[in-house]
Amino acid sequence: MGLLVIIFIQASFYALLGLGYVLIYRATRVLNLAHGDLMVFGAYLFLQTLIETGGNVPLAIVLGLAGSALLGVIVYEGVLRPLAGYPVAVGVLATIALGIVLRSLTTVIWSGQTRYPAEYIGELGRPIPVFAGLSVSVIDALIILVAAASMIVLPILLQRAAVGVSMRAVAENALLASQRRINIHRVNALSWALATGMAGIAGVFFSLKVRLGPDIWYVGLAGFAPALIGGMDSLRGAAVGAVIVAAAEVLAARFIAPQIALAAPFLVLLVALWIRPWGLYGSREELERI
Amino acid sequence: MSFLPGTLHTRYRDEVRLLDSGFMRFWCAAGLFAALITPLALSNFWTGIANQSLIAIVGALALNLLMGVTGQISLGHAGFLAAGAFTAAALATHFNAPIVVSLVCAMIGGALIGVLVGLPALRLKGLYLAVSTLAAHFVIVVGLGQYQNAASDGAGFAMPPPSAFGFSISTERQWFYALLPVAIVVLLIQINWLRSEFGRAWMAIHHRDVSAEVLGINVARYKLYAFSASTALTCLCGALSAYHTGFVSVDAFDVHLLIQYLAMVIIGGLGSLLGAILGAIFVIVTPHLITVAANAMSPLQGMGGKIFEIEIGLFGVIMLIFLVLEPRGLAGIWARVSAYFLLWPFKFRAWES
Amino acid sequence: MTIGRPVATASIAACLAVAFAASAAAQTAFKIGISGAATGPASPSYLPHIEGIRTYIEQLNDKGGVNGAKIDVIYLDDKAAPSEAASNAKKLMDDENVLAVGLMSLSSTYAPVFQAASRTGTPVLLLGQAVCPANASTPQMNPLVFCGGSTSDPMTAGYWQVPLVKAIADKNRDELKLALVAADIPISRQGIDNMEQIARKLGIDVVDKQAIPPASADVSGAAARIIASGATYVTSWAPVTTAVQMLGALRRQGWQGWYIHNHSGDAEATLRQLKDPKLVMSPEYAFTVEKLPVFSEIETAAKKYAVNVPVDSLSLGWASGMMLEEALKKCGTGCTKEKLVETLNGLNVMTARIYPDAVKWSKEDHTRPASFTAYVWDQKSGAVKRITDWARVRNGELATVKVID
Repeated sequence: MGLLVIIFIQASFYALLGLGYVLIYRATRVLNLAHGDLMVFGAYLFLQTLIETGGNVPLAIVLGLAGSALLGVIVYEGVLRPLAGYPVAVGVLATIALGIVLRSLTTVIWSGQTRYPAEYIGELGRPIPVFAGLSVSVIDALIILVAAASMIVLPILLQRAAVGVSMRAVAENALLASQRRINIHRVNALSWALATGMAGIAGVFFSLKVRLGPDIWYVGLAGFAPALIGGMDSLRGAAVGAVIVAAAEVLAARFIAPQIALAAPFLVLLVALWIRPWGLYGSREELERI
Repeated sequence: MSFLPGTLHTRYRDEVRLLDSGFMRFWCAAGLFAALITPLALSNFWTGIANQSLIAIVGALALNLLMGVTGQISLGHAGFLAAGAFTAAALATHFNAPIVVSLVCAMIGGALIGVLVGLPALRLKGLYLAVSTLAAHFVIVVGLGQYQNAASDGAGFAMPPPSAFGFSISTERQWFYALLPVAIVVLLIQINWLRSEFGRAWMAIHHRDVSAEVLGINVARYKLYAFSASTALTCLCGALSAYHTGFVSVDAFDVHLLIQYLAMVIIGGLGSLLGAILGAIFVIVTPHLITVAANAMSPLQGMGGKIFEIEIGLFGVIMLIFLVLEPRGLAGIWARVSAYFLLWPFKFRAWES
Repeated sequence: MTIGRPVATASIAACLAVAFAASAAAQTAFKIGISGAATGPASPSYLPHIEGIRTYIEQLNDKGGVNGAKIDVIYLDDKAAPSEAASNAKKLMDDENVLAVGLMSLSSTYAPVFQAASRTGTPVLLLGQAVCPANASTPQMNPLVFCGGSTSDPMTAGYWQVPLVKAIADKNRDELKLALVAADIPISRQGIDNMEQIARKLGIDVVDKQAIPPASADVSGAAARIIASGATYVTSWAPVTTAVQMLGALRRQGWQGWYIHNHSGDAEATLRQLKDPKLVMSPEYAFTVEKLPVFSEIETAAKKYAVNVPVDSLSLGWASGMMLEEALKKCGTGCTKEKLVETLNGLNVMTARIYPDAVKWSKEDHTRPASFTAYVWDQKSGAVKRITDWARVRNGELATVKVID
């Protein structure tokens, strides 16, 4: 039972990242290799707010979220928008370069020293025994809640809200959507803001649970696997993929060997690509593009 | 090549020539002359950078062949470079092989690896192909890492100073005069390939391989040719860099190296030979220019230890600026500039040429 | 024309004289090279030491340098990669012809640097937290390599850390069931295997051994296994991030035992951040809580010279600066590489008690005598506290640990 909860906590973290990858892919058709660095930047904004306000956690989370979202808009307008229409390899290299810049920026501003934001949240991080030897902290519960909320809100947004329908239109055929008077740049900016906002929250949770340093950007890379497994253009797929990858990682670490835990997401990815290259819920045409 | 107005050929022989006008012949000769006197004008350190650029040009042309011309996404470049470097290291360490033998063996080995990697790649496209070439990279690198642990106790291999045709190559200047003909020959080979049936087949495959198959091109066979040609040249690049650096260790062949070469072909301009050359020079030289600029503007005081991180970040910023402002790359900039001068005072040509 | 000529000649002569004097003055500067991991994943362990030595040398140069001659240092980043270190070594030793090279990076960068050193006759000083190669006190040692860095290596760490664990357990009168934690890299696993051997020889009950992948996001599985084995004490010889992850996972699952770790560049800061009363760090240098006079010197200099790392991690770099100053002072004017090697072979310098013992090298032994101690976070006083005396650690001998208070 306890194992299930741990899997869900890990899955929530992966879901937040994976949903971000999918949103960005649907909007700008590019694999965002800077997602991990965007996540780290959001976490650092969170830490800085904690330091400045002396431990005001809700404000710090809000500012971390808002800052990440704003960064996403800036990245879209500054980097991806000028590159619309060019070969995808150019966009991917641009995200790689962006990742390099963000990593250097965070190291210059905050130094490469490892930080532990958990020291500012005091009791909130303390595990509360729930049952049968399992302890869950408020932070763990929060991450499950946030991930679940996104998985409920996003589909509703896409189905009902006008802006959501626009997002779906742009994802399906951007050219046609632009000719139907949908402001695709505003829609894409919104997608990016949502994606990076979720990444920022994921970063906040990771930094509270484990540690914060410019070197944890690789964790963002692991979020790429659930997105691919579920299908790069399917939000539902990202959620399902997150559960699969998290289960594989936790179970492999617990019952085979801890060393596999790092490779588990990528191993699952290779197997999934072998069986079903376009992902569980992805569309076949996407396979042709990078 | 004959884009100057007034260049009229009257013989087939003139059509086929590489340098078919006085203008081209003059400027190529001038360029060759400039290249030959470069080491005399530069310091030892900068000649070393020039040598690194020449080696990178070989590697970038190879990657351009696969990615730009044939359209096959290959993320295994760093692994192939490692294969070439380790072939040279193993031959030098265990057999005391002369450099020429090492280079030839590296190329042959590269061609074989290219076929091995290309065979499963025949059915793959796009993201799927990228992931499998990346897997090939990891397989090669992990395997070579084990070899390094076994053969050198993990410390890596020192390369002996090479000597070819009776000349020993130890100073940077000697390296330059040894590498320059190699780079030129590789460039000429590439130009020849692109103008031949291979190049036409590759470009057709890039455009739409279904149509190419319909036109009678054996897509599988030409894809394999592309893979093995590209990998052979990549292994040559790896072997050359092994001798030039003087030290081979598997840690040097990581994802960073792959990103460097991807940057070379993309910033240079995908699909163009000039782009690969310019991109290679750009990626190798720019970080050193940044260091020089940083040292000139603010010595370590005031920046402290941050300067190293800032230099890395600045390179990323420059890459971003180039990509965003000119997605067609340096070759695209060159095309725009040369078109401006060629068409002046007109703004555009009234017909397509 | 008639009056211009003597004026012109005089001014040309004056210019030449000034140029000659300037170049003569420049020639008395000592040229040193430093190659270190200033960026990249290993940088948090090595950049503080680079900054430390930079701060020391800058304040030394501002005071006039070594006997009036400034030390001209070239800093190069090797990103902890052997190939970068190889090209740095070529640049420093061949192009710049430095007197000596200070190396502050991972041990994988040693091979190419040592080769270049042997080729050019340049002495190499391993400084900061750079580990000493295993053969540095044997006849096979490289005569140009001097160990001024960490003496904690996988084969000898156990001779200090295991007695430390036992001493703490005895003091607390706890039943000692020991679990060992390593990072899944060869050097860490070696350290833990060696510790296991030593522990078993001492009759300690070793109940579990875990190796954690260095980049894992969640170690609760390994932590659960350690708790299930009934361990009361856990010790690790690994990068500090592994220890912190493991400790966090253990505490989250309700484990209340003692965690003893080796040390790293920001060990003191980690103790202060985590505030865990049962986390012990065991360094071979003094933490700033000792309030030695040298620490306030470091603090002033750090503020003056724009240091980007926490002040309490600069001590080892500062000590390295002291070693370098003493060596260059003894070498004197007209110092050459050969003369410097001779000087280093007879060096004996105190580092203002940052290292408790003097740094002493001889022709046969290029290692540095080492003493270790242990620090913990004391909740009552709200500060880091030392809990043992300084214990000399000699190769192959178990250290005698005395827990104070």
